[in-house]
Amino acid sequence: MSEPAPGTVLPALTFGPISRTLLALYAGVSGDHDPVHIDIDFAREAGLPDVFAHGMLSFGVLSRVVTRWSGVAGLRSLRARFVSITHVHDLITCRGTVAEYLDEAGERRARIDLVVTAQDGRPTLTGEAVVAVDGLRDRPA
Amino acid sequence: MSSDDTAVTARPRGIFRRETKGFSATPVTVRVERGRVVTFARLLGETDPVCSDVAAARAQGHPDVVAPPSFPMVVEMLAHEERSRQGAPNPTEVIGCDFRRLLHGEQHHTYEGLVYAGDEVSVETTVVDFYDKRGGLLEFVILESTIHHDDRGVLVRARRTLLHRLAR
Repeated sequence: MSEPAPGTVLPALTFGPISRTLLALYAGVSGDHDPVHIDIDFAREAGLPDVFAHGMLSFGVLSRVVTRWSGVAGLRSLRARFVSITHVHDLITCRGTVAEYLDEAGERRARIDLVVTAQDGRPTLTGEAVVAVDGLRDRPA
Repeated sequence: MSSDDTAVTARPRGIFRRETKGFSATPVTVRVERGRVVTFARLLGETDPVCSDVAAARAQGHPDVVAPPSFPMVVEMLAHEERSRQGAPNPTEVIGCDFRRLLHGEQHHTYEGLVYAGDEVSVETTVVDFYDKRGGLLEFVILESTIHHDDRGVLVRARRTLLHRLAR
């Protein structure tokens, strides 16, 4: 079985637009009750124009780009750097590109470069994932 | 750690309590509830049925639904609630987070085993380090957590970087 060549792009995933309802529900289910994500009065008192999305919301959606290929069980690590704020009404797109293959801890692994962008092309998150590739399909789907 | 607010030109005063470097929060045990996993997975648009359908998860050899890759942060929040209930100090309180200025800088998860609904897991969190950037306009803290299961060992190691935006 051939591995997808480095440079292979995993199918992108679009999520949103981010609504206030979504942020409230995410705060509730995640347990992250930081008011800066759900309470516009708090945000304004802090000098911000509005509430903004939890970074971990993007992290969670982004992980699906990778696990649609690897499965949750095949994911070895996921690293994210939150490079700009995700605003209310943003529509985010999560992308992954196979970067390289590694032989690590007795298994074949792929490293995947990750990026999340908003509708205007502004990157909000950059990162990388490492997945176990033994037994995966040739082509990411 | 240096907290030299007298040095250089109008260096912003940091907010994090640098002396808490090395602090380890009281380890607590939390239960991963199935409803929480399923609701969380669905909210993120997770389509893999192993995260939301018990029958599908069992058909693939899992004991229950599988927590999605970002769920460890939920486990950390459950641990936070449990410590509060016990009257034990939480890392974000101990280090002096100011939520008006706080941002999440980075998150790094290393997965050594799956977290399943029904699991009871122990959570340990340590304040690893503080540092500054942009001449002190940004101050950072690194927190490291381990999620451990009695029988299956370490499941996840999570490294979280938080930062304060400081004004001159």
